[in-house]
Amino acid sequence: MLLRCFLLVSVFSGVCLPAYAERLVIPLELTPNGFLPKQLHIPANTRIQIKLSNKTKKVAELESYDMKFEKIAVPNGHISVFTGPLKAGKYTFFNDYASNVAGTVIVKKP
Amino acid sequence: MIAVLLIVFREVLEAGLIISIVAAACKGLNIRIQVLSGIILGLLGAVLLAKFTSLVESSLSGYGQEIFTASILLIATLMLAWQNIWMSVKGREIAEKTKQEMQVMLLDNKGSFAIVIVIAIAVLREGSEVVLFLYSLFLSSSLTENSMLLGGLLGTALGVLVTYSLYRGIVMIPLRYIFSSSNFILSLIAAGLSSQAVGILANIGFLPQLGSQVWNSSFLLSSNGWAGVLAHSVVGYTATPMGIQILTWCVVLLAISITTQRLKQNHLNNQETQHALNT
Repeated sequence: MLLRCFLLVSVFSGVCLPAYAERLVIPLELTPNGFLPKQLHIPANTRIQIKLSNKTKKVAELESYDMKFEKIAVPNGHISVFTGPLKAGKYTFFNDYASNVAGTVIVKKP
Repeated sequence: MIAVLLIVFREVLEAGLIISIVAAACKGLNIRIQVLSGIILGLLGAVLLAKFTSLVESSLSGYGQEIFTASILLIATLMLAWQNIWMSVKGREIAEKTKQEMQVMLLDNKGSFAIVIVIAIAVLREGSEVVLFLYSLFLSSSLTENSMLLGGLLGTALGVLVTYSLYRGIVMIPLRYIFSSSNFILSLIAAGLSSQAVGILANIGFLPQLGSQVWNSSFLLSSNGWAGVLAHSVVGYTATPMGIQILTWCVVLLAISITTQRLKQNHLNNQETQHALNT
């Protein structure tokens, strides 16, 4: 039973991990003055990974309703959130643990 | 300070909503110990999780937090389904018994361990965020930060207070209405949790999305507002659902309702045959 579970998991991750490699990685920083850059430009219909490094002294939570992610970043920590493929348009993300710390993602038409 | 109070208050309320609905749905059953041990287990887990949050994040090739959250959401779904099925049989028995037999039965609560797990998971999810948040405020120790910490603690207290009054409010509804509607409410929560779980798994590419945004109902109920956030934590509402989220939501709701109905039907049939044999 245990062996079977292990095999299933390894096959599963074997199938899924290539998706990880294909992602477009976008760096983002959280500074005491807000996100840097404040606006990200992303091509449409691409799977993306936003890599945030928290350069503040407080815990932050990178969250977005329309891009559906929510993740805690400890001080001086790095996190990655995943989203996409996105349609053309404007999306917003924010630090849930601070008021008025937000940024936008612009997805251009292909 | 007010901002901090509101942030912590919201997190506590999100967990509290689930706890009070589950507890109220099981009203009439003696589950105080289960609820309390669920909360304590959840708090312990939250502290542990907060401590190891960076480790969880970097594990499983960067998908650690996603897989962890999705797994606990799926476990909670399973537990709620089990709870629901168990309750529908139990609830039926309660309705049939005399008052004296009922007293005995309410004391016996095998099978209600599922409540412990559901509540522990609700506390664990929001709790680890509150613990980390308050801890980081505690570490930075200037005067303004102290007032922020105070805000955080006040927010926790306020959240607990509102949760409790909410619970008292729901409990005022008479027992038989609760039994008839609790199945449905618990199934809704289970469906919501499972759709959140598949949403997370689809975002990291472990499941197909089946349409990244099937509709956009933010003009009706925005995910950003208070009502939207509460609807999200109770029934898994999102203004822009993925296809797989809608599918999972419906399948889980249907699966639980059909199983419960079947069991009730069987129960009734058994009784009829017994009755026929006796006469």
